[in-house]
Amino acid sequence: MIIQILWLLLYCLACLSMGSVVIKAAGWKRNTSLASTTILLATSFLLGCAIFANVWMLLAIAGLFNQWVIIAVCVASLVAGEKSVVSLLPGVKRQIQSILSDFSTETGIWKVVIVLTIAIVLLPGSSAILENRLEGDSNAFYLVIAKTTAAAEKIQPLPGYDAYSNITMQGELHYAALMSLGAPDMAAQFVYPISICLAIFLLALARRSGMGRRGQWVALAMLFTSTAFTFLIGDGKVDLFGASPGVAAFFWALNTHEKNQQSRGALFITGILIGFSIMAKLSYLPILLPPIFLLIVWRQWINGERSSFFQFIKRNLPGWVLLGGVIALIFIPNMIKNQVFYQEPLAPIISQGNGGWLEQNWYTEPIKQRLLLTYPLALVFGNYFAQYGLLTPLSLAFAPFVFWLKPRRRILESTLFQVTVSALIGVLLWISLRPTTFAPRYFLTPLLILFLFSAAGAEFISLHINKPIGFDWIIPLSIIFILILSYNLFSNLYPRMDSYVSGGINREQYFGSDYQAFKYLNQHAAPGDRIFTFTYYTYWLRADLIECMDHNYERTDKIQSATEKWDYLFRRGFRYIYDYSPSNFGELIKLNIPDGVPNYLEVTPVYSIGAHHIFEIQSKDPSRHPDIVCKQNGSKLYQLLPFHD
Amino acid sequence: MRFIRSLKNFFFEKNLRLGKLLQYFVLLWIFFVLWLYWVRLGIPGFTKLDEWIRFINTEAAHVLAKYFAASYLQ
Repeated sequence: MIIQILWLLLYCLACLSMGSVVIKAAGWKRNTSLASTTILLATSFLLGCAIFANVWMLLAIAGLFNQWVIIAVCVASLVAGEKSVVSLLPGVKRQIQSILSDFSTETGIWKVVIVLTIAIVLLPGSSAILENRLEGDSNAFYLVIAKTTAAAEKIQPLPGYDAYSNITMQGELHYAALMSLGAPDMAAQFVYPISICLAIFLLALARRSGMGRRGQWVALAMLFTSTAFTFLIGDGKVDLFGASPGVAAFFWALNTHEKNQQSRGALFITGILIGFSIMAKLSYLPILLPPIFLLIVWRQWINGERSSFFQFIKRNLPGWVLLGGVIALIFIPNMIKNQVFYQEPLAPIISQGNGGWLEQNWYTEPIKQRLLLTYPLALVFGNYFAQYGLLTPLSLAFAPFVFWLKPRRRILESTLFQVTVSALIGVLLWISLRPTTFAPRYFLTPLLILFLFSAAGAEFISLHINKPIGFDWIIPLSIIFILILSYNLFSNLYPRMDSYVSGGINREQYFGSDYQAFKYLNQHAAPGDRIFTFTYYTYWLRADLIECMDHNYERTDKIQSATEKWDYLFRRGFRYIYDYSPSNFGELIKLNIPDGVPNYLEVTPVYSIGAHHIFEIQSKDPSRHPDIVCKQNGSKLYQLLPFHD
Repeated sequence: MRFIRSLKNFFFEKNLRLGKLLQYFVLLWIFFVLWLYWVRLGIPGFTKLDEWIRFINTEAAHVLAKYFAASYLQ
């Protein structure tokens, strides 16, 4: 496990070094008041992630995604960027000293808030010493495609998710790289540094919006008491790969006006971050592009020389073209992937038949109406299907404080106002475009940025208005209360982890019943055996078995009789049937075991625990054989090939 | 913008008494949100604190929570 943690750290350092090279290339050579050293480090890390993910994608398409190539790229990045990373470290030290100095001047109760907040920030990171905590989709797709890509050294549409594999990908390739390097159990933990970058940029936005240290602590406490954010750390999902650069892009968009001499560099960085965000999570396309472009134009208009509208456009158009060009550039590897596998480079946005999953409608009209009527309450208290996490109640509780804030003479010049309005537009765009796709992770970036006005209000009130109500006590006490509740949420997860680490429960008990069932298959199935699955969740299967699993076009639901179904399954080379009862939608019953099984086949139940059942299919007639087999053909990739004796 | 600013000025700066009254409303709002969050989470554990909260949550409060849970929060 220690070796895996070291691989993870090394990989993070390589990302950081690669990003620092990109920042240099963007012409941003020094830390200024616009971007502190911590910001430059966080930006370097995110840019490095973006570059790496795209390099991995190209290598994976070409079938060159092997351990030695990945190590070579990482080492080259470390060598190239080491000096610039090291040169930033004294600045980080100074910032930490400044934070400690501010801490000593805080009142007692705020010191408690700060200590508890730091502890809750470290809490998800401490899970890095443990293994992957898999949840839903990651167990079904994100970590599974990473596993097959790492094993096959080549990316392929995932069996069972043939159409969905046209999705834009970033996080999955980092997982794959870490698995290739020998850190499969640490792969999902790569999200933790990504989440820390998000926190750094949220605080940077708070600072640029005029908040002091106290407001930043409030914003940080809000972030880490939002389960919509914390649930996504280390569970194998990839949403934070989109949300984190999204928040960073909002920050860098503030630097793109012409009073800043390095505005072109800032535009370049903003473009990469937007592109990275959209590539990681396609839902960020409508909610990031319009708000950030608005923010850029707004800043340029306010801070630029007063001139006519056409002169303004003429002056700034090259910068906007640069921004658009950089964003488009990030899409190229994914376009190549979709051209190779689907002959549709613009899929899933423009697709003949593989973009259907973009049109999602989760609820009926009455529920949709109730949902829309209860914004923002539903985001904080809702309990909807697939919502997966809530926003912090602190954002709602402190929201009325915004009315006490004293704006500048011209509110349009207020950074807080600009950022809040842009984020609000992002949220409204999502609500109007996908009203029933109600899950904060789909539009997390603008939602998190909306915390800022509540945090600013809370800071102002706690510093300036103590009478007649002691808000200087009420506010920190509220934060402490919610922090303690959040610890309790984590504790649902951690006792199980504690007992796993201390040996109270074994690996099977820790990872659940599907792990046990797949362990049976991993031990008994030969390389390349085909398994027909009635489940979405296959991460724990051996990589070759996943590669050989049933494809969407092999489902048997259109075949009428049970005998024909069995005959078809045998001819397609399936050796096992794995059934997870809640996922089979009645299909297993239609197979009618044993009466529907043809005479020449023998179907034996070989595993049955709880909802998990495994059947083995064997031919009694030696003259009969399947039409296809799954095997390696000159590479590590398992492919379906015609049967030859 | 000027209209919003003058409204804000009236409520929060010029009219101090009303401003103070609004502070009490905000205080109630904070308690209400935090308490509703507690109800929403339905957290087990916290034995002593849990009993204390149960003591505070009167019958009427439970009815209100139920109403919110059923009508608005699904």
